[in-house]
Amino acid sequence: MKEININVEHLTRVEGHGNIVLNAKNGKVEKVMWEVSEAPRLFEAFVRGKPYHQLAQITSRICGICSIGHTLASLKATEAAMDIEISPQSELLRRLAIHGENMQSHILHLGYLISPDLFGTGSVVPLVRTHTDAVLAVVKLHRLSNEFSEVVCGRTTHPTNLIPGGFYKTPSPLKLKEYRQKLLDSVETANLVAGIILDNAGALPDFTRETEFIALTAKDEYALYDGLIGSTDAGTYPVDEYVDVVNEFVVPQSTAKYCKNKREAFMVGALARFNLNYDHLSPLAKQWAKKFGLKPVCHNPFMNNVAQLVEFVHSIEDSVSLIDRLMEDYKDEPRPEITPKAGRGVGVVDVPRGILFHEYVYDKDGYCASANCVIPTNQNHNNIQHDFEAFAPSLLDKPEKEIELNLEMLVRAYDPCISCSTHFLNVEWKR
Amino acid sequence: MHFLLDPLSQRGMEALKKTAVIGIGNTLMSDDGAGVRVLEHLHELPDHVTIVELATGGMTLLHHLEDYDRVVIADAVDFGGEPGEIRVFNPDEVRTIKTVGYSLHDLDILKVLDLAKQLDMLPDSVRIAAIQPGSLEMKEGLTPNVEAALPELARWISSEITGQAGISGSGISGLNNGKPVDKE
Repeated sequence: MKEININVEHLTRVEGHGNIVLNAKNGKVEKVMWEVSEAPRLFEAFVRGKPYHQLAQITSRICGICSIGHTLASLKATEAAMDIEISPQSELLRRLAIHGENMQSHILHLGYLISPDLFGTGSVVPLVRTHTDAVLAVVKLHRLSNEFSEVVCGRTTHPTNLIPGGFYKTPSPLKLKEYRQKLLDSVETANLVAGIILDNAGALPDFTRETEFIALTAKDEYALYDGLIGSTDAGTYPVDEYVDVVNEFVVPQSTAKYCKNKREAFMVGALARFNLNYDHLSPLAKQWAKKFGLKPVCHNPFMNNVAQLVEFVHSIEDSVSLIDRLMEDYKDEPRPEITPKAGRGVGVVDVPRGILFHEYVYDKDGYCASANCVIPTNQNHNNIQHDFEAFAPSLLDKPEKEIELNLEMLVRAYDPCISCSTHFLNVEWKR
Repeated sequence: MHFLLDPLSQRGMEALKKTAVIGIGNTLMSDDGAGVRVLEHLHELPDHVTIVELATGGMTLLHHLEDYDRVVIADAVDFGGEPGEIRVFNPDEVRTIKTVGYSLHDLDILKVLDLAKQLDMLPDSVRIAAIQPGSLEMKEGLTPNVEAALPELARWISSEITGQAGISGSGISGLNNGKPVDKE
């Protein structure tokens, strides 16, 4: 019987550095491992001793892709700690911010990182020649998503306009109206991209392993900005109990922590949100889910890509309706004034890769005494490892290159942001 | 009676072209940030010129290209010169694409420009205003030779925009009159 030894060092088309190891002999898997090798980031230590108004700016640097999400989680934690209320208008605008980021991140992942797997090319470059219209459509949607984020957040990445208590400057109503129209106009382009992905979705492996899904959930909306912690196994939890839901622990093969709740592992991200919040998707998003045969609860991790596409369409439609609600009574609101005070607060948002928690403790002058950030990709590493263990044995009859590609595609389906997930190393790990 | 420049003359047309100066690089990686830092030295540019601090924006360079008739990209480029040495060239004048592009995200701007060309998004004119880095260490601040060369690089960028050829005779060391960079 053949011997299989696969070592993928520095998996490509993911953010950060991770390795895949598979050793099999006589048709049996001896070792299959998802290794995370990035250096720790130490952000929780950086922010200690820093004033409250700097925390979102600093922690947004955890990531260049989901910096808006980190900013919002950070602001919500600060606001919870100091009992700061934000205006209903600011809340709606922050929902736009999170849609903008979801759109940016999802189209980048699907258009540039996943499409080469669907078309069987190594990168997006050959597709420019063979599928020029599709690539142009992706570039167009990516640009729109970036610009829309900039209108609301001040910058596409590392936003300047989102501050404790609301907004530094109320986003221009004219710009919002302009982008409402551009979003509407983009539906046709989004349909074109979705159709091309649908035509090639056969390349996504049919693999199912039952797992627990965790995401924000709310009664009246597809929860991204606010809600309770929802689990497909265990109902809901208050946000303040997040530590007992994520149950972080350390393993030798990873500089990032692992998580588990009711089972050996759980999954977060677009598929988890879809599974928990399907009813609140916009009409067009539901139509696309149907065309792909995606129904809740789906346990095929490769369908996370499809869930991202469904969410992209949802974010367009929901943003348009949010702008309509905003324009009913839009005001130029003054910059919020904050009086710092001591307290502990947890902030949660559901960002492109899944549910994100920031927790801070502040002293009476508003200086950070301690911080904890639990990043979505962290919560997924353990589920990726368990998927590997279930998926690898079914692949052993295939040629090595194909096994490698299947395992790579599995990791990519999670859209991991590995550098985000490697942070504060704990002394227990070093023993 | 109006005494205007003939709007249809070559110089007049040049002035009307929508132009961008795009700074690329990472200011946390020493001289890699030169393409961004040089933007601070660009003063009193005409109204039709937009300054874009792209920094490590990578693929988003694509989004900025299609809006302009003319683009000057400022970037740190290893062309085997002395630190602070300046070259200005067209993308298709360089032979090895590996010559250009230091980015934490490991994205080669020449590859992005090639993609843009294939997608028919390339402006009529793209010039790369390149400066040879001395160090690419992970730290803030440029090395002295590169820092000292920024005003000169800015003058070159300005001359590209205005179409004034005055600077080529100014004795800038190592300047190759925009000729192809010979890497091999």
